[in-house]
Amino acid sequence: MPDEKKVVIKLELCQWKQSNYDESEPEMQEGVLSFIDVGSFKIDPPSFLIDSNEILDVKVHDENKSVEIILMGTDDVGKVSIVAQDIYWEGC
Amino acid sequence: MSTLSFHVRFERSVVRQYQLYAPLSDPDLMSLTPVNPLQPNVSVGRIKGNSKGTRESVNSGVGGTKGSNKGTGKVNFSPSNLPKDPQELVNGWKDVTPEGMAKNTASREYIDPSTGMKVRFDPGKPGASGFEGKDHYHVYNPNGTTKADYYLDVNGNPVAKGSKASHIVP
Repeated sequence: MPDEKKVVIKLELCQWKQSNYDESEPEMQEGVLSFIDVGSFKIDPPSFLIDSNEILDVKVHDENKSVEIILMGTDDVGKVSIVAQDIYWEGC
Repeated sequence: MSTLSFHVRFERSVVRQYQLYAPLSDPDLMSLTPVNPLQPNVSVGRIKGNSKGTRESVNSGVGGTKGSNKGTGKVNFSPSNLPKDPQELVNGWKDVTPEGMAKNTASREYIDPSTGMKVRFDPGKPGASGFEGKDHYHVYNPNGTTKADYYLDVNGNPVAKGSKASHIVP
């Protein structure tokens, strides 16, 4: 789909944090978080390196329909800001 | 997005990589494309195969007793006896919270210069369940080299990023 504007974030979800978590399941689950029809995508600082970063916080701003993901970096946090029409989580 | 609320809790999950798919001719999005030669996983204008599995929309709606250094007046903390109030770490500990973390989160980092022990205090969020709702610490593993041994558990054993055991409730 050449016109698709999409951001895909591959992550290891803390399965143990979910309300439906079953203790017999693994604590972590790999999956993909997809942002569909992306209007804006920004990483601050632009040099921030994505490499197995922990998500410290997720902020949802309804007023401008954006999601901010605060990531732990080597020296400081990084902020990923995305405006999208739809978001899907897909477990592997 | 009519209502943005997550059914899935993403805090403390570990982001491995991201990919941006956009028309190469889209100037708005392209201008926002981070260009970083250190990020080999960034690809633009090409779609990688989807992973299998269920697809879920997320758009809708240890305590212990404190040891002490007699004579110095300084309390030595370990993963098993961190104080409920991180302000108690002030005595001898340094607040080394990076500027961005202080600005964007309520988390705070402290280091004990005498031992090199470094911790992050994450205050509980009102109304949240589990560790998210409780004040807790993460103790950085001074010898950690990978995400699998990034933190220490309450007994001082190496544990992974995102793991339940890395959350230490004082």
